[in-house]
Amino acid sequence: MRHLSRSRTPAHKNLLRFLLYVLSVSALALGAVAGIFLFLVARPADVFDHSYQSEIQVRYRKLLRTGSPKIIILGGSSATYGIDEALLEEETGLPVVNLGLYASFGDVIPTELSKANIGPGDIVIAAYEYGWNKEDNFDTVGPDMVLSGFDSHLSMYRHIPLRIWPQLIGYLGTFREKKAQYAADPGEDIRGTLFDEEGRLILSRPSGSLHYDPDAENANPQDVTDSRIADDTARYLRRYRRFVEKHGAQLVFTAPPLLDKALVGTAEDLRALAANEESAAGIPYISDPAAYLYPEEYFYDTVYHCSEEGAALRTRMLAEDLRRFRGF
Amino acid sequence: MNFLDPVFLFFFPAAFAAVHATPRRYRYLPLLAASCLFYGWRTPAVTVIPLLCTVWTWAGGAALGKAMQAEAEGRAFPFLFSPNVLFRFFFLSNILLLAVFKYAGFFSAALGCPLDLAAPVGLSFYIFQSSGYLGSIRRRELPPERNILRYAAFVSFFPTLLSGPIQRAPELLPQLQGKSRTAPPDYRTGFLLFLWGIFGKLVVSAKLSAVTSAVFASPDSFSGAACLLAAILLSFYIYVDFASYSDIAAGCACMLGFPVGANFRTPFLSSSLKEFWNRWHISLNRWFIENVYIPLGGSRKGALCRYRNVLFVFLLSGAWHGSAGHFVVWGGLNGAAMILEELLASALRKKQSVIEAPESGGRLSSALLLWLRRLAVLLVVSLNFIFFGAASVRDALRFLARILSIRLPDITGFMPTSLFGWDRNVMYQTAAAFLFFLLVQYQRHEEGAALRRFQRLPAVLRHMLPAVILTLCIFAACAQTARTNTAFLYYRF
Repeated sequence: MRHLSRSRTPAHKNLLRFLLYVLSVSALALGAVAGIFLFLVARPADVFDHSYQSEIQVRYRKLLRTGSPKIIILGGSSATYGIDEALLEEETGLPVVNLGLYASFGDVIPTELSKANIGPGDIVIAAYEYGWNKEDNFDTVGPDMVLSGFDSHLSMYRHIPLRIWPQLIGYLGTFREKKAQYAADPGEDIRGTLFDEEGRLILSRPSGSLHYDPDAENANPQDVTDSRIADDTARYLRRYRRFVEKHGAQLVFTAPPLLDKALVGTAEDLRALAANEESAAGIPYISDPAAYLYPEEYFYDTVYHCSEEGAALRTRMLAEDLRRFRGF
Repeated sequence: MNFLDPVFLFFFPAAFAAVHATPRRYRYLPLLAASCLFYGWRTPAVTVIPLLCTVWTWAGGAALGKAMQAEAEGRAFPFLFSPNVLFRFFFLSNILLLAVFKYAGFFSAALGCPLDLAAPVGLSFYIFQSSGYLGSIRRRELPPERNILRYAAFVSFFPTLLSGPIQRAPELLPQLQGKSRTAPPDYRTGFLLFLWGIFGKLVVSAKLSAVTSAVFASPDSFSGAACLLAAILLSFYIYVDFASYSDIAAGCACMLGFPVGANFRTPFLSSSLKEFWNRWHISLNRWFIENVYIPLGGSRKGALCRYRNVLFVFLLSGAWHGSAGHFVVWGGLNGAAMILEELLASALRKKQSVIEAPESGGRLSSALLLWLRRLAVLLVVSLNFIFFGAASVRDALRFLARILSIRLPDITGFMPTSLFGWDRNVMYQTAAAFLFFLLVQYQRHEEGAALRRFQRLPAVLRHMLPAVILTLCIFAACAQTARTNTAFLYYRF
């Protein structure tokens, strides 16, 4: 029997040695990056426990332990200030997990976190604040928020998409300094003041507190005249919708509450944006966004933060939209 | 696509695999495909101009070869024109294409009807490489390449396509033809070069750029001493940025199995301006010498002719960098400085016996003199680079005036942190990265010395040191994710 021996030529051996060298150097470097990341993030633990953004840990744990069917809300702080979770649970009969805490996390973060527990019968409500449709906005995260919000809870980091990691790694140097400063002086317990054990906002937010000045530096006007949806974002949302549906749940869009005076554009612009969002992502828009424009009296301190009365109004409207859509 | 695009991390391994999986004499084919993909990644339409240039110069080379053969055999010229006429026609028409893209906007604006004609990225280098091919044929350094695809692979060689080093046809074409080399390529050297270039670009150049751009944007906000330091750092920034790019290009080329020569040889160790320009952007200088300086007469027709040719080459080099006046002034100043240096050297040689100290002592040590001369070169080059870095001649003169207004209190009261936004940490990081870079570059001043020292290290260190560099590069790249400008300085030329 003829044996066919495969002998490597010197050129092949040279090439193979080179490839092994590159792989070993790359592995060492990636290991170093991972090691430095873990070292900086994991120790000391829970340094940012008193911060607003660390509340995301409570909400994440609630997501993990809440069975289906349930309502999951995605968005920014407009969802925290604008949704009375107890009221929504009462109106719909479903437990509510509100992952909308802070827009500075970046819209992609609560969206990815939600994947940890989506089950049959769930309704995922995307209530992103305006501007997410623009190029690169959806994927832009606040690395300071993510690192201080997730802090030393390493299991949460597995939900961060690979493409987002460079933003976090690039921030590590600054994070190290911030962590040292915060560890030395954590300041007042903001989280304990604002939220209860269930993660619900307990801050007293009387109506009429906001006195909006459109010319002020922090006016934060919301321009909705450009209703195009960035291609990458539309692609991402379509993939997310398929994920949600594969787990037996439904994904819907709704509008965030917004101070009417802060809107740059018209009601028609809002409706055009909603229509584009629906067609680009294939996700039903269950609300009339113009109906979620409220006067000043329903807001607390910013154009997106409802007072308690505003939150109740918004919650009832949302419940009504859900009833129409799902027939509760 | 450029070397710092994330997609390059996937592109290069694929190109590497395709090239090495192909028998050596056909490797130009996957290389050509990779080069087309590299160049036309975002906008395939940009490949049209280089494609036309390729076909034009290939045809020109073929016609030139036939005419030269006819001339050698005493036959009638097949295309009616002599080799010299054919060469000048194809060479100059190719250069004209470059001139049109570079200067159409300038002249049309001067005539009152501005025309926005954006040159494809890297067009200069593409045209220089293809024109140099014609020159090599004319000088009988190699025969015309018959295979247009192999020729296209040479002209579009993607590691050096966008910003050089400009490849000489007699050096690269034989490699693409699969002709054997004396030794197999050292792929590991290529990887180390690549890594070092990435480090220089992402870590060192980025930090220096932050300092120099702040000062050049607003020189009146800084003291004369700060402006002088910024001018010196500018010349180092240009060096680090461009030398790093050249290292990345050379590293990629080496890993693909087509090693190319160095483009910088520690120019700031030069003890004369002549030496400096022999060590700085070597491939471009060589191109100008072979295709402009020597055809004009070089040094063969007396000193005045030589000075004229030197000045002309430097002015042309300045004009190549951009149509704005400050680039031409920069080129002219360098040319004038070279001529002045030669005149001074000539005068000093005549008076050498006068300046030699008596035997009893007083002569400056040769080492001290050497470093003083290097410092003088650095100062002259840096002051000239002000015209390169400024936005206009007026801005450059303003900057220079700021430096010349230095008084003693400026020097004694100078705070280096003022250049770094008063951030001590940034200053220390910049200084550490820059000094480390210079230290390693100093080891490289003797060709191959740094590599030989590296190869003598224990295996653990041979793996750990590049891993540390790569780790720093990863952090630097991630820190720049919020920034959008990764373009190399020389892309706009």
